[in-house]
Amino acid sequence: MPNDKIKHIVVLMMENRSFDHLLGLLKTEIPDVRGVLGNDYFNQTTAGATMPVTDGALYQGQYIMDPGHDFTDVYMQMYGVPFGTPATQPNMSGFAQSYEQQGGNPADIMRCFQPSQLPALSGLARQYVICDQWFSSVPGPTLPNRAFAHFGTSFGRLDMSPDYFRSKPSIYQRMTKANKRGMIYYYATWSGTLGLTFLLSDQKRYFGLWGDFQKACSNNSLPDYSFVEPAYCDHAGVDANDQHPDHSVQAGDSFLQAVYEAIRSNDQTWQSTLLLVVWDEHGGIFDHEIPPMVSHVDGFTSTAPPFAFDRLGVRVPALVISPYVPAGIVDHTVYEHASIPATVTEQFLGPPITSSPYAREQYANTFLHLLTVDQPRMERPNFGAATPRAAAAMAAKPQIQPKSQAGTPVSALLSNQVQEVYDLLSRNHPQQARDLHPSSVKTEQDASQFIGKAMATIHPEAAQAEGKGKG
Amino acid sequence: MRMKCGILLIAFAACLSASGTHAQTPAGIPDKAEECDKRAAQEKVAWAKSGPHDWVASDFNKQRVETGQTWCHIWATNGYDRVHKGEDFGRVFLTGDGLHPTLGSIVPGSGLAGGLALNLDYAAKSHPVRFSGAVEARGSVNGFWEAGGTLNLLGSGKRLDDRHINVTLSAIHRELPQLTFFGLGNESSLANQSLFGLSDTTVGASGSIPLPKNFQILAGIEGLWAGPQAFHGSTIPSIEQIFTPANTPALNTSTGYFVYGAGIDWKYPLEECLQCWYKTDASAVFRSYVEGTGAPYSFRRFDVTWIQAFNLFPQARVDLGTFSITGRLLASFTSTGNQVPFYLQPTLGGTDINNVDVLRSYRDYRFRTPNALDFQAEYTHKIVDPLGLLLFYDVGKVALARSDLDISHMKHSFGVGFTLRAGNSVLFKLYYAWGGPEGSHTTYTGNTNNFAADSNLRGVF
Repeated sequence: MPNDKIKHIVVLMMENRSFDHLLGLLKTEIPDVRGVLGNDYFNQTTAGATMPVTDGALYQGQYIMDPGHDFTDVYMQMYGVPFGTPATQPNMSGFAQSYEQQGGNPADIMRCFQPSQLPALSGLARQYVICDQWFSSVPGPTLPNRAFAHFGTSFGRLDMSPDYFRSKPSIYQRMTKANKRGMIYYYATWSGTLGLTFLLSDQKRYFGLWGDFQKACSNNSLPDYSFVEPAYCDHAGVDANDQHPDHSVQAGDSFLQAVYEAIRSNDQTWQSTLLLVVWDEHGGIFDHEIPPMVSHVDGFTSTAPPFAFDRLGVRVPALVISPYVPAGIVDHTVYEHASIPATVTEQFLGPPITSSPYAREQYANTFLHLLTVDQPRMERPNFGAATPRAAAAMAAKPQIQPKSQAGTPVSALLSNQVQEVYDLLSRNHPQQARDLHPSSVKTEQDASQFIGKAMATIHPEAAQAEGKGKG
Repeated sequence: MRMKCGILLIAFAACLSASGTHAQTPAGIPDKAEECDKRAAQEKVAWAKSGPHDWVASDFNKQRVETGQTWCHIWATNGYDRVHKGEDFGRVFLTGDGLHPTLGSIVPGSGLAGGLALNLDYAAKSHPVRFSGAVEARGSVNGFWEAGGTLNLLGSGKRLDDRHINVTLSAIHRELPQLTFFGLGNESSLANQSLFGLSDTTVGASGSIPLPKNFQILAGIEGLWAGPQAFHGSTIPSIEQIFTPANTPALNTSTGYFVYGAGIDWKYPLEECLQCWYKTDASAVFRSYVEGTGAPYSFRRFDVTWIQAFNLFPQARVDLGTFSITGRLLASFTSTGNQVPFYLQPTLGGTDINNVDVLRSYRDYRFRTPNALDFQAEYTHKIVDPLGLLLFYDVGKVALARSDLDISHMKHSFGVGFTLRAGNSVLFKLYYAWGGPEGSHTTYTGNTNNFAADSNLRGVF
């Protein structure tokens, strides 16, 4: 149902990171998140070596080789066998081998960020709604997935040629027909937009730049629907902030905060806006959730490579941010990128089942139901992060380590982690917390045991699952 | 997808691809797309088993496999789908990391040039620094060639405004065998047209540091070696047959410089916006050219540029028109006994050696002196995207003495043409210019190298 408080829907679509990679370790503090704890899932290399999921993801420099994410690469990642080898059920076991085949380090593809490394993303996740069942629409690369966000389908396309945007009824044109306004705000002319042929046909009707978006937010003049694109490349003193490997994840986290701050720059804008932050696809990086089958296919198929568009792609991070959503909840509804035009349609044009042109969008779940708060929430997230130096140290050194050194003194960083886990335990399980004493932790081994005991209380199901790696 | 900014090139790739519906599949290429993908998957498995490999080798292998796979897709599809596969092939073949062909011109008069560019990216793990490097070499049908490399270091990390320190290291050598020279001064004669060759090499570093209020500091150091040569391969006389060292400084002399300089740049608004009704970009840079061999050719140069653009219809839903005014002042200073070598003096007329076009009805490199002042007014208007109308008016003069840099006796040109745009960027211009006593000039500017720069292929030149 449309929500009469919402006048603007804003979607920020980032690039190529999986849910587990960016948000999975939030499970350590929000147990309801279907994420990871570290060492609870693994893949194997071609030679049979075990690659556990762990922290230690770096802001940049870790994916010098861009992990493969074309359809055939994702097939390998999801089914664990090379494309062309028949397989029926995905088991998410081929990420390490796929990256190994690219020439990358298979251990890196299993790494996740600690929440403290991503203060904007984590801060917003704690304050608003985490959608932990948002899947990319296609087990493939960027453009087909973005096409689903703009059209509700990729018209049977899996490749990276940009013709999706020609002569097709996009959500923007449908908005125009209904006397509503939908726009794509791309970062700068040097960065470009992935709606290229739109750009050529009617630039100012459908397009603005990052500067225009900031101005529209501060003037409370946002269009009904805004789709924001980050900077896709480095340029003359500006860091690419799309988070595509190997672009800086930290720069992307700052951009996410900048988009949020732009909307918060005017209270009227904030009190009438619903912001979705989502990633277009997983970029070849590990995620443990098996993508579900599609309930209603739209009839488009691909011949090269052959695909019936009957299964979703790998899970991606997604947050729904608005003054009207409750704080810190996790939504387990299954979404895909067709949910974006479906939600915009539901809010501004009519029920998707009758107002959307393609089946995937007609039947996609929408996220307006998350707007359950009556009075606008005006509190701000805590974007306080570790100091840049601590963050750099955290980025450079994995914290979840399979084996701790018995006599190695505990580092300040690990000590902080112990304290954070203890704080969480004290809040949720005060009685059990009395038996643990963070001040007694002197060595890495102490820390490992301490965290292990605490986590067994916080997440007993994870403790049971530890060692029983999926796939 | 890596290097999506290169997507602007994909339309060209479509032209390059075979899009006929009944073309014969080349030998060794499967006629079923599934076979293309199976083969690519097998090649990837084989690469993993033959490892470990360093990342540069893996980058090349990835490009090789993807090029083969996308090329195979072209032949395994038909009709309109084949065009899409051609575009996809072009994306892999022309953009991203690795080795790519380039096409364009080098300087006015060089003719069509082609070559190869090698692009590689690297980001530091433990420090917020990103590197992008390119090595490129091109040769033209008229015997011009250039080769060089750049390494760009960009600060990274957390900044809400995403502005960072940027440093570029570069080394470039050019051989430009036949450039035109008409003598020095604002009243040089067309009848004195002559030809000379120029070799130049630059090795240097430049950088920018963002400051508050939309300012940034620019700074750079550079080694510059340049030498003129005669050119006798034409009916047009060589330079030394008409001019002498007395009226053409350093006519027979090569020079070597240590160049250092600094300046400031200001943009308003800082962020580009399509709905803003004006945009200002101003810069002022001072450089000192210290001749290192003892020859009397040291000088200093002050370079000011102001670009003021007005969007005449900022609220319109289509881009109806943009009017811009550009002003440039370039003044040289010499100590007693020193002169500026003729081949390092700025030129007006047609297009200059940096591919900037001013006084477009005149010949390329038409007016040359140590000092120059020019103003340009341009109006661009959308016809049917991507085509646009271009109207322009140029005025300018060169001056042997700085005191002559005024608005009297300025040359002028006006003209009309067409632009080819992608988004807000003009990629090609084709125009007819007239004005002044020397007739008209039809020319074009833009090449795939400009595309490369706009689409972050990091063209060296």
